[in-house]
Amino acid sequence: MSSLVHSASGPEGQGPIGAAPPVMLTSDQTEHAATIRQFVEGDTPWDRRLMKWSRWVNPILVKETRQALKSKQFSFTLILLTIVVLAWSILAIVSMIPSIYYASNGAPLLIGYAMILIVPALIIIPQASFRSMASELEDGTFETLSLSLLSPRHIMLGKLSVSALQLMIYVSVIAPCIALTYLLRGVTLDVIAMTLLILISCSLTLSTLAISVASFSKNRVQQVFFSILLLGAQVIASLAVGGVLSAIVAYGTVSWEGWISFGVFLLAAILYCWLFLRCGGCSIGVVSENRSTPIRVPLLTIGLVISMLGGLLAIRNGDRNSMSSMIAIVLNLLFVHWGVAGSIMMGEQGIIPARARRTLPSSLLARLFLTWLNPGAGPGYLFVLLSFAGSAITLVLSCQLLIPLTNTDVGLHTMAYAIALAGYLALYLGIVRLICMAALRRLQTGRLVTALTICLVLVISAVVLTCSINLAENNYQRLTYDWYCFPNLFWTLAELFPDTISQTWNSAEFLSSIIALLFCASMVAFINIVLTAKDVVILRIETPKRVAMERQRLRGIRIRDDEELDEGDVLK
Amino acid sequence: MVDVSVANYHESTDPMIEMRRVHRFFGKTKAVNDISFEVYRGQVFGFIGPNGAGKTTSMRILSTLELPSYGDAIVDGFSVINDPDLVRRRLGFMPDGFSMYPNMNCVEYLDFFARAYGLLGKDRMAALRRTLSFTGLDKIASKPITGLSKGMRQRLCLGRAMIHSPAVLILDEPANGLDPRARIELRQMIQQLAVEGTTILVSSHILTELAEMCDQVGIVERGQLLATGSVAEIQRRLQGSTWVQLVAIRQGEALEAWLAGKSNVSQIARNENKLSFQFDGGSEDQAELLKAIVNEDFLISEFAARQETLEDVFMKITTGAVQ
Repeated sequence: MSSLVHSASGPEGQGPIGAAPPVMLTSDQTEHAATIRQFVEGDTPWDRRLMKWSRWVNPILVKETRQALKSKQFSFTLILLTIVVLAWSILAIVSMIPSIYYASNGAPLLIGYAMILIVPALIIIPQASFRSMASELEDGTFETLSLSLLSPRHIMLGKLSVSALQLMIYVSVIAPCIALTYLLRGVTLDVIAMTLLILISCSLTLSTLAISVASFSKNRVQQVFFSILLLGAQVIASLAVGGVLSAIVAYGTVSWEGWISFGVFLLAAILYCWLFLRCGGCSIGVVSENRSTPIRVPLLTIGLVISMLGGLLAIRNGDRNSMSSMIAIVLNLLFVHWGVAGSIMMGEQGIIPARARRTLPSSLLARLFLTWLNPGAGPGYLFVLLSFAGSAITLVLSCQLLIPLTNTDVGLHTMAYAIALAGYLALYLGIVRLICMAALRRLQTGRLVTALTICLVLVISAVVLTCSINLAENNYQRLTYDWYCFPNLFWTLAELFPDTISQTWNSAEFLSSIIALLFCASMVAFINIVLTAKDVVILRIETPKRVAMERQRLRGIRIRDDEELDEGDVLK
Repeated sequence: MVDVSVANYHESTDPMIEMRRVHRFFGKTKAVNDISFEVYRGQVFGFIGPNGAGKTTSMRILSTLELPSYGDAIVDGFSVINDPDLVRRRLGFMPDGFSMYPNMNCVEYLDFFARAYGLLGKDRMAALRRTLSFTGLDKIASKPITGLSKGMRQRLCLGRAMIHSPAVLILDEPANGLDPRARIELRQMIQQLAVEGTTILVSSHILTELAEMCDQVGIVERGQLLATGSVAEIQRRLQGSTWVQLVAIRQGEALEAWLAGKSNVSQIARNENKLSFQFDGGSEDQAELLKAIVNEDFLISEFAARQETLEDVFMKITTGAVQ
C-alpha cells in the first residue's frame, strides 16, 4: 500500500465535490509521476500547447481521436483514400494528354474527386458515428459515461465533432488534388466551394442522423434495423449528392439562385440536425427530466421557418394561381411536419415527474397560456393544433394581404384547404390520443412508436374503407367522391387542392363532407381539450432549498450567508 | 470562482446514503421489495445476498442508472429520482461487469474520465497521479487496456470510479474473480478510502472479506432486506447466544450432567471429554460459568466461546430461495 506524502488540492471550478482523499505518492514513484506529467502536459512545446488547448475541447473528441489514431479502420480508410485519389489523378491526367496543355479539363477531374470523397464522407463517416454511439450503448460503456458530468448533449456533440474532424482530415487529403483541378481550368472557385460545402453539410447531417438514430437503438435487433435504414438513407443521399454535384460541375458556375437554394437546404439541415440531436439527447438523458419541452422548441422553429420560407417563395412568384398552389404545398409540408410530430407526441405519458414540475409556470395566467409546452399528450395536442393553425393563418393571411387573391375563388380555396388540414390534424391526432389513453395506460416503453403506428393505421384504414364503400356503391366501376369520404384525407385534399379544384367544390356532397369533417374534428377536439383541463391544474412544486443552492453554486453564483439552510431543508 | 466550501454544509451527522422504501419491479418480479437502510459518512456497508437477491438492482438505483418503481434513494441529501445530476457528482460506481474502450491505455482511459468529470489542468494531473498510485497501476500506465489481467482491470475500474474523489463509492462485486493477493490489496484500498472519509457500499459473495472490512452489513434475499446492522448486532438480534467449546481433563460425563442442569445452557454435545454447548449470555455470564465449573472441581484445559461468523448469520437468515 502506498503511503501518504502530501494532500491534493480540491477540484477546480465545476469539478466534482465531496471527500477529497489526499494524493498518495511515494518517493520511489517519482519516475511514474514524471511519466504522468509528460502525458498530461506533453513532450514538445507544441504538445504542451495542444494539451493546454485540449482542456477546452469536448473529452469525447479527445478520447475518440486518440482511439482513432490507433485504430486500423481509420488508418486503412486514410491510406485507401490517398491511393485512390492518386490513382485517379494519374489515370485522368494520362488520359487527358496532350489536350491537358491547352483544353479546360478540370471539370471531369473534379467530378471524379467528388465521387471518391462521397464514399468516406457520406458512407464511412456516418456509419462510424452510428457504430461509435451504438457500441457505447451495447457494450455498457455508456452507463459509466452517463455517470460522469458529461450531459447527453455533450456526448452527442462530442461524437459529431469526431465526425467533423475525420471529414476534415479526408478533405485535407483530397484538397491538393482539388486545387489541381482549378489549375487545369474549366472549374471556377465557386463551383469548388459549392462542391465541398454540399459534401461537408450532407456528411455532417447524415452523421447527426446516425448518432441520433443510434441513441434510440437500445438492443441488437433495433441496432440492426436502424443500421439498415441508415445505410439505405446514405445510399440514396450519396446518389442524390453525386447527381447534384455532377450537374453543378458540368454547368460550370453557381448562380445566385443556386446559392439561395443551398442556403435553404443548409438552414433545413441545421434545423433538423438540431431536432435530431435534441431527440437523441432526450433518449439517452435522465428519465425524470422534462424531455418533451426541449424537443418542442425546434419543432416550433421548423414549423415557423417552413411557413416563412414558403410564404416568401409564394410571394416571389407573381402569378396568383401558382401562388395559391405554392401556399397549398407549404401547407402540406406543415401538415406532414405537425402530423408526424403530433402523432408521436400523442404517445407521451401525462405524468409530469416532480423534477419537471419544478419548472412549470407558477401563475394561473402563465399556466393557461404556456400549458401547451408542458410534457404529455394533452398539452401536445394543443401545441400541435395551435402551432399549425398559427403558421397556416400567418402564411395565408400575409400572402392574402400582400397580393390579394380574393378577386378569384383561389383565396377562398386556399383558406378552405388550410381549414381542412387543421380539421384532419384535430380529428386524427385527437382519436390517436383517446386510443392511447384507453389502451396504452400500462405501456411504459415504446409508447411513441405505438402512437405513430396507430395514427398510420387509422389513416390507411380510412382510405381503404372509404374507397371500398365507394367502389361497392358504384358497382366496382369507378370512384366518385361522396360526403362519407371525408375520413379519406388524401382524396378530400386532392379534391380541395386549389390548383386542381374540380367541379365537386360546389357540389352538395362535397360541402357536406367538409361540414362533416369539421363537425367531427370539433367534437374530437372538444373532448380532448376537456381532458387536457386537468393538465392546467397541475401545480408547480418548489425546488428544495438545498438543491436550489447547489445548482446556484454550480452556476458559479456565490451564496449569501442569510440564504443558508434551515434545519430540515436538506430534502423537502 | 465557485465557492466549494458550501458543498460540504450537508451535516456530517446526516446519512450519506439513504434508501427509503425502495421498490423495483420488472413485470411480476419484485427485484427490490421495500428496502430501507442508511449509511453514514466514512462507513463501509456490505450488501450480502444470493444471486438474484436484488443487490445489483439496489446499487444501480443508488447510482441513478435505474429508477425505483416506488420509494426514493438519497445520496448526500439529493434524490436519485429528482436530482440524479447532483447525485452523480458525488458518486463513483464500479459495476459488476464492465467493458473498456479499445485502443486505449490505462492512463488515457483514466484521463478521459478525469476530463469527463470536469477536472482540468493541475487538478487532472493530481487526480491521475493519485489514482494510478493508489490502484498500483502507475507501473503499467501506458499498457493497453486489452492486455490487462482481470485483477488489473478491476483496479482500473476502481480507479475510474474514484478519479473524481467521490464522497460515495458503490462497488458491485469488486473482488469477483480476483486472486487472494489482489483481494487483500483491494480490501486494503477500500479500508483506506473509508478512513479518508469516503462512504462505501460494497457487495460481495465472499462473506469473510465483507465481515473484515464492513462497519455494517445488509442481508438481502428475494428483494427484501432481512437484516441490517453490524455482524455482532445482527447476531445479538438473531439469537443472543454463543457456542462454547470446553475440554475437561477428566469427568466429561459428569460435567455434561452438571451443565445440563444450568438454565442458560442448551444443545450440549459431548465427544469423550470434549464438550460443546450453546450458552445464552454475555461475556460476564461466561466468566461466571467458568468460575462455577472450577468451583465444582472440574479440571478444565480449554474454554473457548465462539462468536457466530457472518457466514453463520447469513446461512441462518437466508433460505436460499430465488425468484
